Amino acid sequence: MRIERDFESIVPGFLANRKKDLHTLHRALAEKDFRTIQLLGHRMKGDGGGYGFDRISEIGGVMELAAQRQDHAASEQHIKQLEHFLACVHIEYV
Amino acid sequence: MPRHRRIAVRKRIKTAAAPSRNPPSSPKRVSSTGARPRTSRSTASDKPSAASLLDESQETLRKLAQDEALTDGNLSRSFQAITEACCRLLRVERAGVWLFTDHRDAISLIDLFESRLRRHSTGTTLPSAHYPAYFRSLIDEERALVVHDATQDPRTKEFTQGYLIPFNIRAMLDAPIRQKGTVVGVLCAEQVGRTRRWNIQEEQVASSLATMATLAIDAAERREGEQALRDAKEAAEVANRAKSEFLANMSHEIRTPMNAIIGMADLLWDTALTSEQRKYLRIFRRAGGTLLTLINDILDLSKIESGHLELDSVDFDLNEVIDRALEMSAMRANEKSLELVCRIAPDVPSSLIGDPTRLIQIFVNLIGNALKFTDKGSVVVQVTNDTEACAPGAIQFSVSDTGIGIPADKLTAIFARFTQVHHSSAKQYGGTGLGLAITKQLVALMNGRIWAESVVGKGSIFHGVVRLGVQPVHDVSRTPMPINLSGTRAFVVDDHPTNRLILRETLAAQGALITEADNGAAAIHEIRRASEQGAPYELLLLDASLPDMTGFHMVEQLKTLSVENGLVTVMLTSDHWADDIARTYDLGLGGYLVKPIRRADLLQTIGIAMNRAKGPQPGASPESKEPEKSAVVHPLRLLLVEDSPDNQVLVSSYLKQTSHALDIAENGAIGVEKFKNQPYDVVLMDIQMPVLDGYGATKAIREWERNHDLPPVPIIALTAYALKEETDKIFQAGCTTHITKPVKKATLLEILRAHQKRAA
Repeated sequence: MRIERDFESIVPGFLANRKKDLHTLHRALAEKDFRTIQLLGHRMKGDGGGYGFDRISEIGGVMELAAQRQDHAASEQHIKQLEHFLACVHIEYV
Repeated sequence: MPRHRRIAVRKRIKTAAAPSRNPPSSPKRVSSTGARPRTSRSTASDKPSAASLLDESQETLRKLAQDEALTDGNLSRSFQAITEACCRLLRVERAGVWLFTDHRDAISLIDLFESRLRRHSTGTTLPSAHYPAYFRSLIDEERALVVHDATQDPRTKEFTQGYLIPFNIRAMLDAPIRQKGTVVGVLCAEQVGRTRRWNIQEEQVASSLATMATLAIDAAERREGEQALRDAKEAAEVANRAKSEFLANMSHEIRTPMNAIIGMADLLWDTALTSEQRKYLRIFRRAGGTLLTLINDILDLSKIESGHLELDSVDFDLNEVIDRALEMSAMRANEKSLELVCRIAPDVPSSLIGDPTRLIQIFVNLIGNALKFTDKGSVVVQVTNDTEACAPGAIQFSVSDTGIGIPADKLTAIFARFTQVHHSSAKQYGGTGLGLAITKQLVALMNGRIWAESVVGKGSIFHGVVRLGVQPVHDVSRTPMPINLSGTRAFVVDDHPTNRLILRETLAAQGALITEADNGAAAIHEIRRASEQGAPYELLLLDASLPDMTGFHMVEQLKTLSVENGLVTVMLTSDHWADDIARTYDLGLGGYLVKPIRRADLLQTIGIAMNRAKGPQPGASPESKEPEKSAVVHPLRLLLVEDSPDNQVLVSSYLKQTSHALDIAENGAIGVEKFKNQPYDVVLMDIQMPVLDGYGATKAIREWERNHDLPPVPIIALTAYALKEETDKIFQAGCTTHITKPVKKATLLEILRAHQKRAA
């Protein structure tokens, strides 16, 4: 992924926060705490694009909707999508 | 009876020389204007034929009507002329004019002419209580009292002992003198020595002469009224000049400490204060500002009136003057969602000589006034050459609005000091009531004049003409950088005809070929047609709010139709401008202009947009457009209310290279507290937040502002939603505008830059 060099100093922190989110999301899913999943999904939707991660916004948006309707399976799927994205993403600053 | 005439009559009665029944030993002889010398032998006895009486009376009445005494309102000389004419025409020895006294309980003899003695006298008073029959007849009867035998006639025989016998009067012809339907006196023709049968012609002559008496009284009243007005005006002018001098000195003396007070309050504002102290200080600064404006207005007006205001005579550019006035008025227009439009005719010279500061003041006053009284529609400024003056530099301007209008009888009064047409709504509209008075005087100082026309409920037009000098050599450096648009196919879409006219004129002057539309559907149709025929448009100037769709909606449709390739779009926006700027960037359009459109801005924006379309050019991207301006001039104090730490970091990083000061609140409740304790220029408000969300926080801020009588600070909602109902909810809560997340750096900086321009 190509990200503007302007963001070089803040992107690692953003991604680290998403990894923390993953732990929280897994725990919330186990506890059926859909409120937390909805909130984190909403934040990702709002924040991802700003950092250049449109994919994170996209996942956040659908995760928020899934949590809103308390859809366990869909929420789990979107958490996995996030996990996959974070594991695979490679960043090149331009 | 009107007051001034009562005064005149009373004066005459008091100064009467002597009553006629006791004639003075050497009576003062007065010869009236136009009286023909006549021997005493011939006056009373030669009765003229009906035909010659008619001729003679017409000639006499004509002369009387032209008599200077009558036209000038000289009452005593008028009455003398009338009594003399009466004796002459009716061949009687005595003729008198009597007028009712103040209480209408008596008549006083104002002038008696005795033709045999050729003598005028005055003075007797006859109380109505003594002569009830006569007075009743005088008031009640429509026509003259025709009395052939005075001692026998029931209407006059009560005069027998006291009046008729002593003067040997045997017949009377008494014509009432009426004024506005009321009998105010009587003209008496008195036959001495014998009874007399008056004929109808003679009665008519008496009535005509009584009418002349009425005219004389009217003229005298007018003269007295005019004199009183003249005296009052003179006294007022003397007093006014003295007052203006005093005010000019006083205002200046007040301004000096006022500036210190306001300056100190500003310094205090930037120190640490408690919420309560800040509240008091806000009121203090606001009141100080209002007072200073009022003092400045008074100072201006008194300076002008005492002749102390001298206009500058310097070279200036008319376009810059108008642009500056529009800039100062634009915010108010946008707040009220009014279309503010200005058109300067292409043949008006722009390099002029005069006082640009005062000219700006004139325009700002007139535009401000129009905006104040208009809630819906537009305010249009037009500048043309004054064709009547036929001189270069004679400029005519008009400011028209679609506001509440001014009643016809107030069109002159509005230019007076402290006059507001709509007294009942003065609170609603505010203002010192000095703006138009100052404007009128300033225009007069520029050898011009100002006037207004209006239709209540439809709007008003203020017209003005001024005479300015024209610079001998045209200064090219002042004109906006021309851009070459020759042969460029440009399309203008705006529902406001004056806006289209301005755009057409400006673009045509640069060589563009212009087509217009006043709605979105027609525009889409035309753009599609042109594209299909292989001659696509290259430049689109698009109003963001069209009657049938938004400009953005139209652009989206063009994209769907794939006909916007190579089309450079410049969006024209007014209300919700911050929102529109964001969308302009989101859609990747060429640029935007916030109305009112200024010529220099228009050309610059088109130039940048067209260059960018040609290919990447250093310094042409929106991010790098005038970045130093936002970094150096007027940094903003921003409050970001946002719960997401990542977004906090992101916004902070956007602002890192600017000089804006950013403060962060983690939720709505903290945000509201921070807002109450510190001044901010702009609030960036996230909507979904724990504790208190963006809707609640915005409502709380707006309520607090209202309670403290403060102007609303712009609140920009940051939202991940783009649904219409969410947008509605955001505006209902009191947000000024909204940006859709993710927030792009360029969009945020552009919006802040626009706010800075407004705040400046």
